[in-house]
Amino acid sequence: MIKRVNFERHRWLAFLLLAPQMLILTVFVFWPAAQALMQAFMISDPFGVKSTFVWFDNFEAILSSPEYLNSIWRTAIFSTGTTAAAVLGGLLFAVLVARVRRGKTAYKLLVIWPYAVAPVLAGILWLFLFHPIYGAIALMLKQGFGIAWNPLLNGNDAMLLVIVAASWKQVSYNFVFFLAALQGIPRSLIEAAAIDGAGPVRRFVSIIFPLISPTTFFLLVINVVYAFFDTFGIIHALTHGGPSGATDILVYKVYADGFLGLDLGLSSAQSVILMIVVIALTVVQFRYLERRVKYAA
Amino acid sequence: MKQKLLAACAGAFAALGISTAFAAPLEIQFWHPSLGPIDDALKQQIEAFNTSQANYRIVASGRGTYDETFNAAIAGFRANKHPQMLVVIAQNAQSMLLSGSVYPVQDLLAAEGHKVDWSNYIQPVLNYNRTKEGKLLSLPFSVSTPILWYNKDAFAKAGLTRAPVTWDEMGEYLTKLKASGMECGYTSGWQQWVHVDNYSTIHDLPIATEHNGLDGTNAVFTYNKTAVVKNIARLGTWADDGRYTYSGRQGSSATPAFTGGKCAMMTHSSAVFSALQQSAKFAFDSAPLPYETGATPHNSLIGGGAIWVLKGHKPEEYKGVAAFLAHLASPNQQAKWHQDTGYMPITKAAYEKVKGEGYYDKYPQQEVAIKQIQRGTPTLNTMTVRLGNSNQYVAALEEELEAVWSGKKPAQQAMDDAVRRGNEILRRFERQRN
Repeated sequence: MIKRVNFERHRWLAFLLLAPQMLILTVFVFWPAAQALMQAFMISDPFGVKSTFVWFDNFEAILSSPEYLNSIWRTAIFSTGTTAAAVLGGLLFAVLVARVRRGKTAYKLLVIWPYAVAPVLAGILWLFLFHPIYGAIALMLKQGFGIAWNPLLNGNDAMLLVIVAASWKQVSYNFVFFLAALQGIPRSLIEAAAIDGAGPVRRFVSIIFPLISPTTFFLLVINVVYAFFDTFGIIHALTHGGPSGATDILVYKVYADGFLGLDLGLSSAQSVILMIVVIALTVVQFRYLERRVKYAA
Repeated sequence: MKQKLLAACAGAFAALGISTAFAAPLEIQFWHPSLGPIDDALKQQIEAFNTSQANYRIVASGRGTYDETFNAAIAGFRANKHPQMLVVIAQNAQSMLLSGSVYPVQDLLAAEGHKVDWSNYIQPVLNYNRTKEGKLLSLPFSVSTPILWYNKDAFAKAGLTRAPVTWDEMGEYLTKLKASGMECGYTSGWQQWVHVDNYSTIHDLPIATEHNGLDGTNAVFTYNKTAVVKNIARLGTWADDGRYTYSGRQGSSATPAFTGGKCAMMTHSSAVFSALQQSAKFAFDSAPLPYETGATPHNSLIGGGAIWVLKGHKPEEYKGVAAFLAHLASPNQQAKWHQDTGYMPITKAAYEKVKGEGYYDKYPQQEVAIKQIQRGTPTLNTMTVRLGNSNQYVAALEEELEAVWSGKKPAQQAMDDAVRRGNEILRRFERQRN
């Protein structure tokens, strides 16, 4: 029998207990979201003096622009790259740290550290290290390896730079979760496999990885959402979406048109599209990927 | 009994509050972007006003970048909690003007009985923020204009003794500088401001119709049909053969390329002077922006912030605002501001005062911008750029410029694309306001 609280006789109590949370959600989530949805069908000046209802004009303007189509493509590359780098990086560090015997705390601390650095600050740091004229790492690449690194004019270099910068911080986040998951695996299972003659790789593939699949799935969803929504600060600090739109991802366009350009209608319409894309992606992840997740050991 | 006592205490406190409110000077809000090391100079200007009289107190509040400050003010305006004074970057003048929330500075000062001799101001500085009838809308504050900065040590090594005057000459200089072992010949901060806006005004070319938007929001970009294309094409060639090195958008990433001794020449705001003084380990100098061979150069355009006065406050507060603006424009404060920050003085009196004190004998770099901005007679092409949604059209233009520097597009095609995208953005601005 499942134990659950029964509110049948005190229906109002259930609503009362839910009220604070609902209030917070309404004020900070539903209300702004409804506003954005409304703005998406309007053209208005930033001071809120004039607003005109324009039906789907904003959506038409966005979807007919070749720059927006380029932006969708760029977002696909960026999000895939960032999520993959962040999840794999976090996993790699977690597996290594879990195996370390001495100085585990020091390693943990060092890997978690980047998470405390503000994204914009991180962006500026990366820019100064990788700037083709005076960046220390860029100069090393040029003089040491003969690589003509230039993220200011080469779109691929710029994309690589923003992916690394955006996933750098996220690696720490994923690391914490993976490490916890790894520590949750019963030692006896691994020892038994080792006695049966399974090497470290075999043990990882057949035992450890399936056992941490719930964590992996959770992090995958979180990281995709992060890559889609939370990365405009880094893009702004590093490339402004350049060169020539090579890193102009959807969320940066929302930020640039809304916050910098003060075109609320255009920006809201884009955020509605972005929201639909992310909801669709999350649904796909839950429907198809979650089937492969094993929740009980 | 207890309650009575409490009530009495509350009453006493309220009375105390009222009496201190009567004695305290009237507070006036002044929102400005945080300008980094220059914030101290601003504090001193405000302190000087606050201590010079007892009726008003200016409360300055740094609100981040220019964009963040503008956003904060819009949010304030929507909640009816906007400040009396707000610093807005030059290219947002059109948004401010059409917001319906502006109290023109010239009207304010006249209404409050300040007799201002506007002819004593440096006209091209005021022109940027004037209506087409000539009324001043906002008081220029953190004013600068782009000039050429060059590394004198690098010049000496290449056997060069003075700054290049024309762009053609600059090309030859760059060849020599590269030959002398210089890694990067030339770079630029604010590429669009330097190579499209100011290039156009200096050669008396229109950037857009309707006198760059001064006469109406129906303006259309036209710089893809002027010598701007030739200028961009030439830079594209230089980018290709290594004479020009692109250092990124906006202004902050060009400066280290120059101060680090990598680039021999840099076009940048005149206000980077103090930054260069702090970090350049070599002798440097400044010169006017180059122009085309055979051309008669006109004034350049200003950039930076201006102080806008917002509507919707009490009459007695506007008295204080007017007194503060008059204080800022006084020759003493202007002269100090100019020397402390590297921004330009806005009155001729302040300029003459600084000059008379021999400041430019010591720092000739600081006079170049003032002379450049007063060059020639202003025309309707060189007065202002009054176009909306500037952040967006500038971003589109910068994308297209990057396509030229990387060799992806020829200059003409890039400028055509930038104009097409820019015009769509201007049309949206028109729809937002009508």
